[in-house]
This record gives sequence, structure tokens and C-alpha cells, in this order.
Amino acid sequence: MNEIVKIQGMYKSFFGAKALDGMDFTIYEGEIHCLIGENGCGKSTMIKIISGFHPFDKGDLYINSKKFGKITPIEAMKEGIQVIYQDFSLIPNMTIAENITMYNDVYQNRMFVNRNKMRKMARATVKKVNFDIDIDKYVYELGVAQKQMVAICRAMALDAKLIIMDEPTTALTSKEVENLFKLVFKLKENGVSILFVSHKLDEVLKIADSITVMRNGKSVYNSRGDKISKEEMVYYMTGKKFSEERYSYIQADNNPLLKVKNYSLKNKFSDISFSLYRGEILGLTGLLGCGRNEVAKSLFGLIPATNGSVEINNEDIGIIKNVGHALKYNIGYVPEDRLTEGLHMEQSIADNGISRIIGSLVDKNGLLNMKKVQEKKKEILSLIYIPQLKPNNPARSLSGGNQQKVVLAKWLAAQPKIFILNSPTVGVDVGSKTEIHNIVKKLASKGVGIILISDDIPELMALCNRVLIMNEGHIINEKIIMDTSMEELSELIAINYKEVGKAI
Amino acid sequence: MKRIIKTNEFSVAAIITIIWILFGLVNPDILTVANLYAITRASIISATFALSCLLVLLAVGIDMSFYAVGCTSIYVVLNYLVKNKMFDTPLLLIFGASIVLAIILQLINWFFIDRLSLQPFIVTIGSQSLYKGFLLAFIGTTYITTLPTSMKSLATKYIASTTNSSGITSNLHFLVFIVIIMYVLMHLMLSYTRFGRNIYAIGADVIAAKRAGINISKTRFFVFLLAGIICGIGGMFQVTLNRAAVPADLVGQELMVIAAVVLGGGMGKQARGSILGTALGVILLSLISNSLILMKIPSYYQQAFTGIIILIGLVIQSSKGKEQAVD
Repeated sequence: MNEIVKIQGMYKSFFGAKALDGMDFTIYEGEIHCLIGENGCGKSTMIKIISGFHPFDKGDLYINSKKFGKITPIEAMKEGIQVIYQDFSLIPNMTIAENITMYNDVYQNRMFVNRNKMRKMARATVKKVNFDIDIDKYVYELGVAQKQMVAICRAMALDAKLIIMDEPTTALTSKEVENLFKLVFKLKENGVSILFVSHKLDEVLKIADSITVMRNGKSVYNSRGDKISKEEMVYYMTGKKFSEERYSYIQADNNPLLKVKNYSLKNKFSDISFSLYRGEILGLTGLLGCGRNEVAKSLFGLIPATNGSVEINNEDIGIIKNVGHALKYNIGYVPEDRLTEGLHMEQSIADNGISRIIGSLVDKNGLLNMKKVQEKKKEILSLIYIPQLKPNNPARSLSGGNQQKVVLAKWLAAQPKIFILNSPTVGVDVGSKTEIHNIVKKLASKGVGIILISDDIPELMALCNRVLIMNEGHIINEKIIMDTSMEELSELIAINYKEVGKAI
Repeated sequence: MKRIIKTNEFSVAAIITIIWILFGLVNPDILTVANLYAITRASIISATFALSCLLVLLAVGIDMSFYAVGCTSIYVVLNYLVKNKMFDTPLLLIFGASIVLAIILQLINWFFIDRLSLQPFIVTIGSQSLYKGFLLAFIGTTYITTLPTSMKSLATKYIASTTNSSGITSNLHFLVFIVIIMYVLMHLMLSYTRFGRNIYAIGADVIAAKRAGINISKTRFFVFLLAGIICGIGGMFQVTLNRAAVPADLVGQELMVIAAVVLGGGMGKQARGSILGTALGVILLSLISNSLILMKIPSYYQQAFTGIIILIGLVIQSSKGKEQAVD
């Protein structure tokens, strides 16, 4: 088999910080190669070097058996290398056809744009990957999965030999992931190599022909076809053995902490009833769009329900009307999208930490007690571990996992009684994920009632004692974790109840 | 057909039609050919500068300096010609000199915005103030009313005229032609050349454009170069039509032009600001101010009314954007 890209002993530093430290890597023609590693291990740097975006300091780069001392993005494209970035790098104010043919025009260095030819080419490409869409639509009109398809088409329009996909499944529903995988296998059949960069180890196991694990700018593991387990992957990625201990819940209290009765919101969910006990971690899962998000938000008062009632400590408080109402009863909420809902990105890490409790740091005269503020900041940041923490840096400067820890710390400071976590570990690296899990477990063991919304089945298995499964706005099943298995759970989640008929 | 109705151009055109008819009902003079000529004449200057504004807006962001650039360039040239009594200078030479100066001034903007990665809005506010101050402090503050003969004859070059019942003649000015040609050329450039599409691309997402292999700096350089050319021409048109070069006369009217361009759909990440849209935006604002004058409404009301129309236009635009955004 021919080598498409071969990297040997590659070094690259940014301002003195080593991003690549003697990296070796090879990808062959027609293989699906998965690249995994924790945040900051140098994955993106390597991709950017292959695609000509960054020059490298030292080492050998061979593309299609040709040696390159340095490579420009256009040369990389000419060698058939295409990157599909996480943000897809599409131009929103252009049509699908324009986007698909854009790279082609740039590298052929044409002066003029022939609209007919452009649309013809776009149509042919779209057909090649069985993508059924109106090519005259503007890209900003599209959903995430469709945008990704456009990006793939753009790569295909240039007869890509190697398509690098950077975390392609992060924003996709499981159905869309299935479709993507089908396409990836089809591309492979056509002799295209795929470099698949991912956090999701289950997906990696599902599609990889070979796997490279990176740590600290080096390749620490390289498989070609041989079996590797998830635990081993995690070990290679982190250099540590993580054994997730299951959270064991011991019922201490027969009175439910929270009792939700017939909670309903028009067109989103209906007749949601369940109880949550002190010290319990209750999972809430289901496919994207099943209503789990809305249930979480309505319990925190972000989108109030229209019917039903909530009892907290046997006190009927009706519907949770707004966030203030939820806070009054000590309900905490970690939103799904920490970028837009969880943190003030431009503010400092320390300020984010005290943002929830800042009201309690005010003196009688109505001004903030700066001494108290400083103490609290220290106290809150000591609740979590972030390596090389600089409290005065903006929250934006942290990696995804560390940002999520700050979100948690902010809530820990407020000492919630009921804590709703909406997909707390999406896009978080393995190390931070374990830490976040430990924080959650510790919280529960102190008697906090936790509702965990997640579609990460291993996460549900490790943390929860009960799981509620939602579909089309209803709770359709409830499982005690001890009595179920990963396979059973994923089947229960994926069943299309409409097709099966209302059997349950 | 549905696609056409959904476009921004269509809604601006609809607003123009409605306003024209409504005003026409109040004052029938507004519906005459004479008024049409008057509106086109009133549009020439802002239409020219709007092109420069659109170009920069699409590629980098709001430009506050285009009037100052055009005004300064032509004044410097005329000041020199008049002082040296060179009244026979050919028209093309005056144009050329004005354009060269305007290019230099716009490239100063480019330097700060591209090379030093500064905010276009802030940079151009600064350069606007700088150019205007430089002009008044070092070049002159006097009105220049004795123009070179070639400019004088250009000022009265008409391609059609009409006389109304009360014997007043209205003319269609020759420069309208030039403006139309400039619009057609610009449209061709934006839609059918790679340079044009690169402009949209870097305006929407610099990183994505860079990943596509587009040379950002170079594209921006040519954008500001073109903007300079247009500003030079615009300054020249301004003096020709007003038959006087007035330093600092134009500064302060930028907002009207920017409003016209934004109405035409030139603003925002999803902007596909078109040449037709810009033309319609300019016509709309000229129509409003012209008609309100004909209806003898005081100018304070005019400003307020124009403001209302701009806001309505933007509300229509943004509600469309929301409809279409899926995620």
C-alpha cells in the first residue's frame, strides 16, 4: 500500500512551548486512521502542518512519497489533502455550489467564475456522495449535519486523496453520525484515506482501520489492525490508569427531595413525572430532540412548563416560573453549551467562579467587600484542580474540560440542594472527564440530588443509579443501572417508537 | 419567484414603490419625469461613494473615512491648480491626480487595518479626522469656486431634458451614465471574478478564507486600492456637481451613505450585499429627502423620517435572517 503522508521525527514549538516533540506518523492509501489524544497533545498542530497551515521546525514530511521542506496550503491541496475543520470553514453568505467549488477555483487560479460550470460541478459532487440538497441554498440556511456534508463535498470536488476530519461527530445526532460513517466507508471504498480525529473512543473502535494515540507531542501507540480496548486507549492517552468506580447510592431517606408531577410543555414534552432522592444521581437520556433538554431547562425555570407541578421537600411549589424561583429552592444548573450559557468568556476565571454568589459578598453599605471577594475566589478555585491555573486570565483561555470545571466550581460555591447537569462532559478530554465525574459523585455522596442529562452511556453507567429514557417528549422507560447493561440501554434509547408502534 | 420575493432587494424595491406612490398622492410633482431627473442627480454623489463603502464593508467592516478621502484628494488637486492658475488642465488629468491621492489615503487605512490588525471602524474614524484636520490646517479653508474650464463644462453636460408646464427645465445629468457604468462593472467584478468572491469570503470568515488558500492581505490591498479609485472619482463628481470645492463639506454625511449600503444588505456575517441592493438603498434615501423637500417639510423632520425608514428596513432584513437561520 502506498503511503499518503509520512512524518518522521517532527518538532514544532510555539513561543517556546513544544507542540510536537518528535512525532512519527504514517497514513496509507484507502485506510481509515483514527488519531486520538487529550486536548493540547498536539493533534491540531500536526493537522495544521500536514495541511500547510503551519511550518514545522525540524523533521521529515513526505507526501505521496515526495519530501517537503515546507508546504503551503495550496500545495497541500494539490497533493490531495483536505481538512474538514470542526467549524467546517464554510462561507455562510455563499451558496452551497459556491462553497463546494471554492477551493477548486482558488487552486486553479482562475480569474473568472463560470457560474454554469460551477453549478454543474457542484451538482456532480453532491450526487457522488448521495447528498440530496438544493445547491443554490445559502450555507447559513443549513443545519450542522448539512454543513458538514457541504464541507465533505468541497473536499471531494478536488478529488481529495486524504480527508482529515477534526472531531466530525461532536455536533451530530446519532442518526447523523450513522450517515457520516456510511459515507466514510464509501469514501474508503473509492480509495480515499480518512484521518479521523476524535474524542469519542466508541466511535473510534467502530470505524478505525488503524489508530494512533498521541501524548505530549509524540506518538505513544500505533496500531495497524490489531485490537485495542478502550481502557488501553485511555491509558495511552493519559499515561494513567483510570478505573471508573461506579457511584454506589444508598437510599437514606424515604421522602423524595424533588417530585415532579405531570410536567408538560406544549410540543416539547408531556406528563413527565419522577422523584429524586437525596444523594441520588438520576440519569435522563434519549435521542437529540426527545425533549430532555427542555425538561432540564424547565426545571431550572429557563423555559417554564405549562402544566404540572413540582414538590420540593414535600412542599408543592407549582410550576418553576423563572430562574430566580429555581434559585430560591437551591436548584443549580450546568448548561449544555458552556460557551454561550455557562461562562462569561471574556471575564477572568476567578470572577467567573464567584459570579453565582456575588450577591452574598455585599456589605451593608451596598458595596462589594473586596476582602471577602478575594477570599471567596481563592476558596472556590481550590475546589477544582486546573494545572497552571492563572486566576486572572479570561475564561476563554482555558480548554473545554477546564472551563467545565470552572462552571462546576461556580455552582459548588452556591451549595445547591438539587443539581441539574446538562451534558457536562461533551467535548471534554478524558482526564478532565474523570475529574468532573469525581466532583459529581462527591457532591451526591454529600446528599445533593443530581439530575444528569447525557447521551454518553458509559457515563450514565458509571454515575447514575437510575436512568429515565425519553422519546418524543415522554418518559418511556426507567431502568435501575444495576439491572441493565450498556447494550440494553443503547437499544432502548435508539428504538424508534413510532415505527415499532405504541408497544410500550 | 419565491426566491425573488424573499430577497432583500425586493423588499427595498417594494418600500421605494410604496413611498413613491404615497408621496405622489400627496404631491403629484413627485411622480413627474422632472423629479426623476432630480432624484438621479441627487443620487450621483452618494451612489458613487456608496460603492466604495460597500466594497470596504464587505471585505473588512465599516469605513467612516470615504468622504474625507474623496474630499481631501480633490481639494488638494484643485487648490494646486488654482494657485498656479492652471485652468486649462484636461479633465482626465484632474481625475487622475485626484484618484492617485485618494488611493494613497485609502492605503493608509489598509495599512492600519490589515498590517496592524486594528478595528476598521476605529481606524477610519481616526483617519477621517486626520484627513479633515490636515486639509483645513495645511491646505486651506477657503471655498474654491473658479474651477478649471473642463470641469465647468462637465458640470452642465446633460443627456436629456424635460420642461414642465410652468416652463422649468429639468435635466438628466451625464454623470448618471458614468455611475451606471461603474455599478455594472462592480457587479460583474463581485459576481463573476474570483477576486469578487474572495471579498465575500474574507468578509464573512477570515479564517475560513485563509484555509481556502486566499491571500487575505493582498485581497484587502486591492479592495482599498479600488475604494481609493472610487473615492477619487466621487470627490471629483462632488465638486463638479456643486461647482465649488468646499473643504470639510462632506464630512458628516457618511452615515447616510452607510445607511443606504446597509439597507441594501451589505452588513453582517450573512450579508450578501449586492450592487443592486446598494443602488436601491441610495435611491430610496434620495427619494425620501427629495420628496420631503418638495412637500415643504422642514429638514429636521426629514432626518427623523429617514431614520424611521432605515430602522424599518433593518427590521425587515433581520426578521428574514431569523427565519432562515436553522441552527
